[in-house]
Amino acid sequence: MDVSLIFKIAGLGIITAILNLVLIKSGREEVAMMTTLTGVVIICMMVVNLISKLFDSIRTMLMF
Amino acid sequence: MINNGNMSDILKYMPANISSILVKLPDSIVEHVEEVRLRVGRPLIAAGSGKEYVMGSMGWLEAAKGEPYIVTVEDIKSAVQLISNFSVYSVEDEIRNGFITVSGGHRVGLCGRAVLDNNKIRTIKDISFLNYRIAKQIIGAADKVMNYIIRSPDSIYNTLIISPPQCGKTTLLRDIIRQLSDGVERYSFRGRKIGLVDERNEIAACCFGRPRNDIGIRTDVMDSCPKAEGIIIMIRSMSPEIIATDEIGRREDGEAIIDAINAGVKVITTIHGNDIEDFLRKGSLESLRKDLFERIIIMSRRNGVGTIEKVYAENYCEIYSA
Amino acid sequence: MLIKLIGGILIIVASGAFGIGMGNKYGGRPKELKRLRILLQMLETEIIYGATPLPFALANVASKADNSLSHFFQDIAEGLIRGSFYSVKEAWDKAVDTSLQDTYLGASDKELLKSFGGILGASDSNDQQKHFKLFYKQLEQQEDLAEEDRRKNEKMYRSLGFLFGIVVFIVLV
Repeated sequence: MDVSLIFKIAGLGIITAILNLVLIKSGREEVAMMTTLTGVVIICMMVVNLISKLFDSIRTMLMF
Repeated sequence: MINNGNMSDILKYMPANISSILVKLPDSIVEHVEEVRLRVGRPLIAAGSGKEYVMGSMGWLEAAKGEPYIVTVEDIKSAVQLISNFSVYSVEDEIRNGFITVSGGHRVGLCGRAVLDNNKIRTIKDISFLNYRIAKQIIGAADKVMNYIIRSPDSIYNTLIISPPQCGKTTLLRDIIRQLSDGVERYSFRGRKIGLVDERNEIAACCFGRPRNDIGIRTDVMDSCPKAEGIIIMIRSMSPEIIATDEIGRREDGEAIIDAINAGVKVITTIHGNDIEDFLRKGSLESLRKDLFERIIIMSRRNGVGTIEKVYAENYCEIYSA
Repeated sequence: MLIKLIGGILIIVASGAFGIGMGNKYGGRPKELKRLRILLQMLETEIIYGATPLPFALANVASKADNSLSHFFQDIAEGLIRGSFYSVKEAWDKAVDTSLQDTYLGASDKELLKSFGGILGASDSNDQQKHFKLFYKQLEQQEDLAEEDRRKNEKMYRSLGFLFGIVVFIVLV
């Protein structure tokens, strides 16, 4: 398990939040929404491997 | 006779379309052109020496066949900008008087819709008629009359020039001024200080206060100034020995001239008219009749522009007749 | 590890600079519009009270202006003095197209300026004054718009540039 991944996700989260804030402040709610979504998707893509690994290990545990 | 009037001087005050047509005129005609007329929606016409040249887009219509060139609104607009050095606002007073003097002493008359303010012309709008008049200073134009004007080596007669328009009255006056100011060797006449009140800016043709015509070395010019006031200012401030002015007509002008004569200053001036009768009939100049003028010169264009018709001495007795 | 760090810093600096550049574009416009208005006010004074002929009035204004705007006025004045144009509008339009390229003024500002060129010098001082007044109103409106644009965009582009750089850095590392 890599700790740096957690930091990465945390960093992305913070930046997405700030981006969201800045964009909303300058009156671009739609763009802010999209940015947030993009952030979420990027983070999902980062963790999707781990989740699939988790599922795999659960499956091997139960099937076994 | 030297002729410094040249049509090429005024070409740069004409829009591209029109100057490109006029340069196609042969030199022999260009020399004689005195006027170029622009009228909205009408053909372009140059005129001079009693002849008219209707211009086509390829040059003079009679030489080059084709349709006459019709002047457009844009042509006139562009011309007005060029004449006024792109600053109509800076020549407001000139426009009010109906003409603008451009460098070289040439004058452009203009007409359009007058905008009134308290019954006085405030400005002319929608200018649609232009008349470029090519100024020709003729050095020596006054040679024939100088002996009538000069009284003694240091004095002259009060002189009045009577002439219909376009007969060379201003040209004559300008040359008289030049000769009196520089001095005339032939009559051993010493040059005198002359105050020139040039209300219509025709004589000296000042551009930014600097005379464009040769008016002699002892001449002070007050240009674009009402004559009556100008004469008084001149007498008071410049101590002239001779006052010269053009085209008097109003009552105040007459009074100012009497003031000048009473102050011991000699006067040379002009009025519009055909004959001495016209002068005597002018109600507004009543005060000037009584022998104030010792010499009266009558001009016409019988033998071409600048013909001296008659010269009268005191008591209207004729001393020269053409 | 060190190379990664340097690369990351480079990315962040680059995108940050880009953002600042974009932001300045919005910040410069209202300032320039304001300067333009002040210069035109000088021109008006020259015209109405000095009755200075337009080419010289423009040259005077140019000598008081700074860089890009100075070029603009200088170009018109020179063109008119040299006699290479037959109307103020021609000279003005050409100068708007060529001399204002390295300013922050937008297409709408240039359109507005062009509409003014046809009027300048073409009427008596009363009329000129009215046109100047009207033009100031229009310029002010444009300034307000530009100001609003600036408020909206300047800060956003600046922070956006940096944030984007950081995102790229984080995703790539």
